[in-house]
Amino acid sequence: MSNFALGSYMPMDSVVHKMDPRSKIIIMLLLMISIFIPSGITGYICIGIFICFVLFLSKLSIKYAFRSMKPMLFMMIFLLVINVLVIKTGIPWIQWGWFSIYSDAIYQTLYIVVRLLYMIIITTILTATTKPLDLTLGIEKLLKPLEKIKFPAHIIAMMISIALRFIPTLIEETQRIMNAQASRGVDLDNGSLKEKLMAILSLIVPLFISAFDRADQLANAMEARGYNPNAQRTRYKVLKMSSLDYIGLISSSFLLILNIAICFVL
Amino acid sequence: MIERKGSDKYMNAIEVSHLTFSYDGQKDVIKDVSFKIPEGSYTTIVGQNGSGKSTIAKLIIGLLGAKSGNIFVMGKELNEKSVYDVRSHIGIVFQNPDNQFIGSTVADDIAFGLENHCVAQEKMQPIIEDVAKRVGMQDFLNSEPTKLSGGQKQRVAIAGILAMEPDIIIFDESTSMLDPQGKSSINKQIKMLHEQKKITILSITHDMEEVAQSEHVIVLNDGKIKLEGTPMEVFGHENELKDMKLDIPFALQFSKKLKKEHIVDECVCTLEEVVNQLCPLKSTI
Amino acid sequence: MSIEIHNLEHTYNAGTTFSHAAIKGINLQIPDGKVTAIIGQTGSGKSTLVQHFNGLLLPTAGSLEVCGFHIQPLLKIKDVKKLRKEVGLVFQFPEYQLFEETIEKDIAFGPKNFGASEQEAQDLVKKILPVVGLDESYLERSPFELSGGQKRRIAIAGILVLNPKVLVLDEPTAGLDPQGAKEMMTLFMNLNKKENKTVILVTHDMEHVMKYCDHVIVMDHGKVLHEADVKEFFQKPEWLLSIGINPPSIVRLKCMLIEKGFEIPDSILDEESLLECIKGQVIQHV
Repeated sequence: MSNFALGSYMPMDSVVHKMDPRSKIIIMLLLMISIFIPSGITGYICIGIFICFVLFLSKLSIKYAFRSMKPMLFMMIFLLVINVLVIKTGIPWIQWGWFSIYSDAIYQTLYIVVRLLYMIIITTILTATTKPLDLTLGIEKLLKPLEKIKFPAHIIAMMISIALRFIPTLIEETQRIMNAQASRGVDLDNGSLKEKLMAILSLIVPLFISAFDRADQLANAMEARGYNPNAQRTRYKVLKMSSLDYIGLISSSFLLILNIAICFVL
Repeated sequence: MIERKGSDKYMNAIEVSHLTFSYDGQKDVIKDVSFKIPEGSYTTIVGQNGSGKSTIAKLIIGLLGAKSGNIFVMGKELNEKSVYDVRSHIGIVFQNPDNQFIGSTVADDIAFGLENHCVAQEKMQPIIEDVAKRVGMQDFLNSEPTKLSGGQKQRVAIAGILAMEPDIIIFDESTSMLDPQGKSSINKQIKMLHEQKKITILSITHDMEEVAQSEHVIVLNDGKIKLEGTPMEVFGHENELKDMKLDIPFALQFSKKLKKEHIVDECVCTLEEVVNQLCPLKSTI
Repeated sequence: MSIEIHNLEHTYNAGTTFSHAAIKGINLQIPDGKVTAIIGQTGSGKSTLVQHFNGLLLPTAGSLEVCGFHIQPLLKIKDVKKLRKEVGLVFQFPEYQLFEETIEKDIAFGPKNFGASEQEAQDLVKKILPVVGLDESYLERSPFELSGGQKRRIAIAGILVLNPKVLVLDEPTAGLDPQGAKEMMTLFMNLNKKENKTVILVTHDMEHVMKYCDHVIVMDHGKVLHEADVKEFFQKPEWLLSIGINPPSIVRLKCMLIEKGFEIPDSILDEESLLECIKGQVIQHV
């Protein structure tokens, strides 16, 4: 019954959905690095075109991509205000008595806003086109070389996937405990601070107890089915790179090189 | 140590001898329990909550370590070294359907055991499809657990176990959290596994109707075996069962009344048998 | 009538893509002082329906009259909070609502939420413990060191201590052993018989429906499929099977015998009369 869309994955049929999670993660990292290269307006336009193209390929609606930015709006306005008050270089555009707005303040804010915007769109595309489980599998595979230096990549991936698996279950559980306590007169909206504290306690304590209970039973079930964290395991899901992935990887590397070039040449 | 003959013709799937266990080191919850479960048999363990039933199941698959006594599974003694080997012979279906569903989808969950036993990736898909079909879940391979009913989740758990081709399956109150539909679908599965697949079944249950359909019953009370035998033998001790706060199935209660009225000579414990007894006696007028 | 329901509808997440109609227009009256069973398959809307009885859920259309409260869409928690004292709702596996360090504090939590003083709450707790079959020696103990069945008694005491007029129980015996289930049902029957509380039982267990309930409501896909007196309800076993209800053992036995040609009147629902009926139709060897 919860309208909580996990990782906000959007089941659709697009070339971006079909790509290997590993290459998607690497492309995301390449784009992130590109964004942080100070390559000026030309560079940002190049990245912008690239991102728009990927967004178009992923068949996600622009509305959806922008909706994920709503929470950032406040931060952007806050940034603008701070920048306007602090940065006093460049050409003064507006002057009312002691108050003035300099061009650099606007440019600086725009740069930061565009960077943030790009980053949010990129991560949104990644999570909306990749199932959480595939994402963990991708992370696990990418971290695999680190196992040589005793980095527990597969255990971490197992932890993440179990956490993802149990989020809906625990949300349901929370709802049930809330209902049970509301039937005993708990009112989370009204009441004194002390009452509210008790109300929250009456929710959290049972939730923890039940979560530990579940964890204990889950551990038993995993062990009974022969799970041994230190032993070798095979994997049911395999990741396969296709030509699509190579195109994506090459073009995003190219974009990064382009940005570095712009940065140095211009 | 008990003596074991290597050439036993009738091998015991599970053999428990003088098993004692305590959670806190002081109060024993399993007290010197010994029993044998022949290969291919269908055994039920009954007893009140807190009688130690589920503890025995956890001891057999090595999730808990005994204080004293021995457990043999398929002829191998269970110890720290053999525990992974033993677990490849036994599957267990627990009570809570949610807390044993590990994968994000049905196929992933069935694959979990295969992954642990290093089955080659290319061999997994046919196995998964086959066992899913056997429990009637072939159309749900990509479903997430939140979209499944309790009964369906338990069927997936059974499929995950069948994929490992075990010799023994333990059902630890696997139907107690299910609705009637779920219950009867799991009970049908159990019966099928026993009759067609010849898998040794050990079922821990409260359901006296299920006990009546098993071959062998062990009654546990306060960590000790109080009664053991066929369902009819065990149900014969009605007063002792009552003292342990256990019921006898409705069919047997009714059968006893029929006997008292001299309508039938012998007591039976399932509804089908009651009807079969009465049919030939029906007057044609 | 303690509960009257008029054209009740409830849709979860109305207006979104996750929208799901759980209750689709229900009219019902639940008799006072009786034990009413609400049955139906998982997902038929039983749990959604009963959560309206104490205002945990509000109708998305239609209304209810419960113990003098008028429940309609878009009320505030303040408007329905007092109703929660009149209608006690016990959820499935209620032991998961325990959280206090002592049993006394946990049971006293409800009364204090409804404004009882420390002293008043303590007195109420002492009165309610024997009702659930426990004594005062439990007061200072932690609820978490008890057995499953005892935990459930404490959780139920936490609702009973509010002295509700109507008691709604969602699968109260799930997970208990048969003896524990029997004791639990006896407890509720005593509350109904001795204190005249209206009891509403959401259950899958037809043996309990037959043995303990007066009235049955069958839900299916968010609607009321059938409503009957319990005595009439089990008289048409073929119909029960057709809607996916597994009738009690005695009804099943009756069915099987009728199939084999025995003549058994619809009204026979207890062992003694079934025995008499069979006796008349078999050749007895003396």
